[in-house]
Amino acid sequence: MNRRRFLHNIGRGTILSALAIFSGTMVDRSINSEGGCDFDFVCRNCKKNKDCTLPDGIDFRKKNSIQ
Amino acid sequence: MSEILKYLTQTWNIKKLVTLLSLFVLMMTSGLPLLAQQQRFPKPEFESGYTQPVTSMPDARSDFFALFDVFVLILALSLITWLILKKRSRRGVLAVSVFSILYFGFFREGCVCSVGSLQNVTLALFQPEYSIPISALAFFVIPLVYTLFFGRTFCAGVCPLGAIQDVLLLRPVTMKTWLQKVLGLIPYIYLGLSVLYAATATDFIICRYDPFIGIYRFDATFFMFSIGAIFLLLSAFVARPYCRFFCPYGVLLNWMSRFSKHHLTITPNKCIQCRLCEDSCPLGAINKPVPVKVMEDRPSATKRFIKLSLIIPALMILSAWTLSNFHENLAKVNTKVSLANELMLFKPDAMLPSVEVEAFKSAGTPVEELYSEAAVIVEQFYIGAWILGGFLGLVFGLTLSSLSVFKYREDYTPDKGECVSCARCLKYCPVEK
Repeated sequence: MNRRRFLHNIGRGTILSALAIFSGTMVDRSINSEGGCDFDFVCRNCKKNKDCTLPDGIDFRKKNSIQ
Repeated sequence: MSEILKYLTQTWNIKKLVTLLSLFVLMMTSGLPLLAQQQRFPKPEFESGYTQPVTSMPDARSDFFALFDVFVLILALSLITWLILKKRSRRGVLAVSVFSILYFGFFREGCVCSVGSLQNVTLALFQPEYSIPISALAFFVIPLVYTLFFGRTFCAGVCPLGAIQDVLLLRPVTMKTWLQKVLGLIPYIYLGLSVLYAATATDFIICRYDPFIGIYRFDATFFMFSIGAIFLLLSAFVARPYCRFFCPYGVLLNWMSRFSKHHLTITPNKCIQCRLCEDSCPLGAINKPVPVKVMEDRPSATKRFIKLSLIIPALMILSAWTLSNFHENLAKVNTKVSLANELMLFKPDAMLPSVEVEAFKSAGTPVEELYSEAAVIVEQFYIGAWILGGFLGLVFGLTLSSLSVFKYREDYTPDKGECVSCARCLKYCPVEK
């Protein structure tokens, strides 16, 4: 293995590690977060509303059940 | 007349008369026209069975189909990589390109795309409350990983933006190297700006100014359609103008590809220096062999490289300082900043309020709140402009210093960074496996 190839291997390994750490963090955040809103907080017709834990979603469910 | 008045004043008291006249005027002005209107336009009957349509928003791509897209991306990437590296087939690349145009382009309407996902990733990095969709993350990471091992096979035919330009290339013209180098700096500027605007949650400029999305969706504005048409027309003569001179994701792929383990080679075996492939690349991404006599002695080349490298920090500081002076102009793209600016300059006596100003005033939000939010964003732009300026200075400096570097090469080899693995050069090589 020459010097150039050795440096390339180190570079590749570093980038791969960085990508893996970054992806892992993002996936973890995505799974453990309370969930963002796909519809800009317009709850009507939202399919995720029944399981939504966001305050707007809970509020919408409450109002709907009264009606 | 005087007799009538005299009679009235005798029989009626004046107060009664005024009341009667007022009632008459009131009936004439409001009561009667109202009655008439009711007769003309009877009250609508809401019990007619008609139901108001439900206001609805388009469904988000379901989780299954979002994952299916990722699966298709992996499949297409694997197939094109196999076709390029193992089968060495230009026809195969063309077939995958057509598939990508149809599936990722027209069917999926160019979204989610790896080029745009760069902004989702930036937003997720800088705004912790934003949770990036897994499919967007996958579309960003997977092509990078493939490039790290196999070169830019994603650009070859999986990216719908690159594929549509590639299939339209009819008569490629060779561009001067200096022009390619100069235009090749634009993607770095575009990358820096798109990261800056995404990081400050201002805008996704790559998607907004994507010249091909409007064509894939058949809903382009006249301006964007014109830009897209110009790019497509240009693609017939200049190979992949958007990929080479604009694509910000291409910058990342270029960096990754330099580390690639199994990059495409022009010859499947030993190069016989026949020079047939010399001008085969429409992107000018073939490195020619460097004759030994041209080579400079190592110490003097190193000395020149070091001297040039010393310019880099100076360029970085100069560029960062220059751009930081324009941070307010850059921040004006942000809606909050532009509204705060408008409100600051607004003179109610001399100017008519714009729709934005009217909407803001009717919302009842205190102006001070908007000003403080805008000030925070402008501050973010100030820091961002310093970083962006430094980055651009570094890029300019490295480009300058790289011009003085002569690498010794014996064979014709693809430039790992610039080569998009389109496989055009392969058919020029007479060497058998």
